Amino acid sequence: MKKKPYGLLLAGGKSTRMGRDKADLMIVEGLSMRDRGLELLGAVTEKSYLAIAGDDHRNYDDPTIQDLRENAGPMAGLESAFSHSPETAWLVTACDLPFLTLSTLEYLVEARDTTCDATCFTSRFDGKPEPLCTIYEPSSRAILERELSDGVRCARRFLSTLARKEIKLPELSALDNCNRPEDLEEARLSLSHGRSLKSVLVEYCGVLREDAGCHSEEFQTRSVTVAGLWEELRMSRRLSLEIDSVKVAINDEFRSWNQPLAEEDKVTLFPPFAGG
Amino acid sequence: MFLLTPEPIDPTSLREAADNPHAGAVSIFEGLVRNHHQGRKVLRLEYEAHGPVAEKEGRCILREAIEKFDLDYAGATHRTGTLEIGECAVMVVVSAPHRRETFDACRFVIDEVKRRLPIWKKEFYTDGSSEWVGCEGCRGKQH
Repeated sequence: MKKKPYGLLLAGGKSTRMGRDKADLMIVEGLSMRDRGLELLGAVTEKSYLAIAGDDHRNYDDPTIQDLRENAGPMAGLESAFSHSPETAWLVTACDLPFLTLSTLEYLVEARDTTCDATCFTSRFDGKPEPLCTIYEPSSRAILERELSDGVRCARRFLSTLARKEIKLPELSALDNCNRPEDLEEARLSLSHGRSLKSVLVEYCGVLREDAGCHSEEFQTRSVTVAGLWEELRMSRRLSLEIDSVKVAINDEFRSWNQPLAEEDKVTLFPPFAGG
Repeated sequence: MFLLTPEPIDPTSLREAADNPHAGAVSIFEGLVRNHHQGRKVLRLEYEAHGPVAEKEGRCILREAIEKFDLDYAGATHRTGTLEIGECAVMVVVSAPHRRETFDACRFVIDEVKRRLPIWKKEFYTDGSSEWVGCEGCRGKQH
């Protein structure tokens, strides 16, 4: 039987768009994103740790591993984890993955191939490997050190250099992340109400129509709110605007991004107005 | 009273709609296509509107203006499609018993039209390039 990996939860830094440390945000009542991440990791790993920045001197209830170098993002966390326990594999996730579920993690652990350097999921958006829900085997450590000394700071680029087993996500949105208050609301509602498949009609206007390459399309979504749908469309249709500059109408009425979606809704996306 | 049209705007007929024996003043605003924008030479424009939402919101703005300024009449027309330099892109006509209300209402209507209506403008420049107005600053990183 395979030895269970250790777990590493990347706490991340302050989020400018959330206005505070994302790990502290409550995902459901009484449970922060950090607590939830550790709880999930704890269920599939031997032991789990919180990866924190070198200058983070707060007291945590859970075991922590401090970054050994600054400004190297997730790669620094993994480097410090291997320095802490070089002989074990590390399952690395991030606390800003509110849609991550236990079954997705179990699926990853089940699919793990210890003869590769890493076992990971393929991004549903661009088909590239996802570095932040990945099992890194001890054999990846030497490559990590080499890439870091070559100046590489992008975890995705590092993962691309590894011999890896890539698997498809069993739940499509499990690794969608959470950068804005609207994303968190989407996550809260989906945890409390579940995510059912809906078919909606999306209309694109102005520059968004040019980005999407069509006036309208039928789109299948499991998003609960229109903000969740926007995130899916932004990534998959490579829309060029940020949510702050876009307005949305549902069935020809202006709505807020937190509006829940219903089957057969018509969702119209408006770039900044420029009449007159 | 609110209209989106792909046809050239006819100022005379729009002005006549404001005739009313109760009204002592009519104010008109016409927005025209000019040949320059932020230092670039403009060749022509294309306006795109979301018809159902723009018409509903446009009617709403006019109702608000009538109530707010006690008008006898308020009308607005916005063009869609391709416009050449000098063409009328938008026209606002309001009437009321006295001039002060019509000046204020005319400004209110055009300001709200620009702020609230789902209408987009693409500018075509003499150097062959084009740009969606208002989207330059908010483009994401992926383009």
